[in-house]
Amino acid sequence: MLAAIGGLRKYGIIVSLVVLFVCFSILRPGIFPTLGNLIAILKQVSLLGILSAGLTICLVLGDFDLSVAAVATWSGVLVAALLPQMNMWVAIPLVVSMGVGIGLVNGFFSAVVGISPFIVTLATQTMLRGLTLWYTGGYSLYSGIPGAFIRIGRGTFLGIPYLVYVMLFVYILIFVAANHTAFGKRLYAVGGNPIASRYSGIRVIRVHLIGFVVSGVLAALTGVLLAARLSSGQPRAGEGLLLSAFAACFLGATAFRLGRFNILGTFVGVLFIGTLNNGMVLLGVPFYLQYVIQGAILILAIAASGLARSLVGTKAH
Amino acid sequence: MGSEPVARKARTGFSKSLGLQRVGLAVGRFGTVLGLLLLVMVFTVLKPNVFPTIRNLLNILNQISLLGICAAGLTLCLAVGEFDLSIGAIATLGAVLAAGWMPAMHPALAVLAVLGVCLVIGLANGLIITTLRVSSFMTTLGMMTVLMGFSYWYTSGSGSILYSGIPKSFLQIGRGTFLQIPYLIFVMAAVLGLLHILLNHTATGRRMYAVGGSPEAARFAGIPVRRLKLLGFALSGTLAGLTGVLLVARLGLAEPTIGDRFLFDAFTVVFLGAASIRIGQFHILGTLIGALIMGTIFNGFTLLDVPYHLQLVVQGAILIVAVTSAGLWQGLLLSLRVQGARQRPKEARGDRDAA
Repeated sequence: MLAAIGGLRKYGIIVSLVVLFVCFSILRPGIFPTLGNLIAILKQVSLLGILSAGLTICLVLGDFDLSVAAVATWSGVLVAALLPQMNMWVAIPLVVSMGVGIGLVNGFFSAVVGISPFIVTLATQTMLRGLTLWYTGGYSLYSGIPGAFIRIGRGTFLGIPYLVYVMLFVYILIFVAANHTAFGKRLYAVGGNPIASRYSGIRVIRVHLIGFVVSGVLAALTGVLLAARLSSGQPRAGEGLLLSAFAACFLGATAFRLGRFNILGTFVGVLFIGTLNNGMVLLGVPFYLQYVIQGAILILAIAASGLARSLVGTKAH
Repeated sequence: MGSEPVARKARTGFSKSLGLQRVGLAVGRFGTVLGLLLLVMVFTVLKPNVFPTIRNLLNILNQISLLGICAAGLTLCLAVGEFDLSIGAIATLGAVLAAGWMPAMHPALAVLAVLGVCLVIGLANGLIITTLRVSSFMTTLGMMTVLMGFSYWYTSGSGSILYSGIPKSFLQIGRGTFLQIPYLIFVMAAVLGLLHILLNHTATGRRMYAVGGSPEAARFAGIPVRRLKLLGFALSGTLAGLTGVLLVARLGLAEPTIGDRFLFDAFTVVFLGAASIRIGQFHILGTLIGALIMGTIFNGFTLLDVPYHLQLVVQGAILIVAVTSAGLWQGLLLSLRVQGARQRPKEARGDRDAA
């Protein structure tokens, strides 16, 4: 019984994903469980997925990065502003390296100066939001964006959108880095116990800096791809991603590694949110009810994991 | 063991002169207050006829009154060591429900009903978090999403803006004055005053700080941790709801994004407050200072015709500068204490080194 609860807790989100899948398949048999729709789900979650992957690294280290969505929005606007003036293969690396810069600023103030990351990234997200809205005046930038750039967001290879390949590539990269390298070991060590890590010779500050840089780079990449998909730079395009990214990471923390953020869990969390949204749209659920259901599921998931933990915990003592 | 304070001192880079350090500490504690005064002086010089007038001062206080109320509730929640990300959504819900119920019932009854609903939401947050011992960040994030959806749903039947049937007597709360001072300023003063007394002059307040400092130690000291956390969430939810109700009184309408900005603004205000006077502690006086800084920036910059969105950039920059400087001064305080400890008798130090 206890093992069942423990197991359910560890794989609860996967079981829920399967249940969700079966429910939608029964309710919309001709539309939901088709190859085309599955690819559509993957495409819909690709940007959220890339953003959440970076956020996961920060969360593993115990750092909240509230700036990811603002970085993505600003990057989308910036790339749309740069594209008419330069080759896209110059513009994209430029914008992504700006993500490195923002990550370093976040990391400097939180890891080196020692301010709570929540406050630092609250401030940087406010500044970036202001910068974006001021620069665009609230309007979208869509002139002079080359077709080659737009194809990144819309093109496919072997029937699968480029965006999905990018997302999978990012996840494989981060999965390998987090689980099969010395850096990954340090990452979890610092996240688990920073003081012990420092005494064992890990350069804690550097690990935190790298975390913020990864998060900043992937947020900037998300922004670039967002601009490609929308074929414009929109000053509010990324705002909704913040909540979803945190939701995906927290849902993911209920899977695989007990109560800890992990990249595989985040991927499942992202798929869960994508499947839920896709299915609800197919069922014609009004958008406001989608919010309610999403929020309720978030609370339920965390409550269930907490309940399972306290059940297992009390028996163990 | 000694490496940490030394590193801190190296970082702050201050001389060994104790007198200078004492001055520095005072500057650090009142850094945000000095910053506020500096802002006032700059705006006074730049706009001598408009900025430093009683009318404009009342204007600033009126502008920050709602933010002050919302941030004061959040201060209580942060004081017990929990996040409440649902305040913006609760404010929106409060506004939407107040505007929706106002035509059907007496305004006072509607306000009480709305505050009751928001109290229940705050308690629900607290109950989930304390009973299941789960992250407040995640739980209130979920609550925020649910409430957002609910507000959209509630307003969807009326083209998403509710404005009809709100009685004049209710709008008077948001627009009326007493002795030429807007009512909203009185409301803010009352809320902040009461919460200040609760947090600083009652046993409950001291216990709340104890819970925020170390829940484990507080529990062993026999403090009802769970009840105090519930109190924090209840106050945070209720005051966010009050903010929404007063928003309707001021604007005469409600729409489903009306309270959103209070989330980030309130956090900014509260963190600015924690960087003032009692550094690292969330307290109501600090929250008031934070709200005044925000209000002064927006008022002054608007008078100077700085675009609104650039004001956001300044807001973020000021938050970083304030918290960074407060942190540096706190490091200084620590190094001062270490110096004090070093002036102990020599044999004691020998013992410590041997150990």
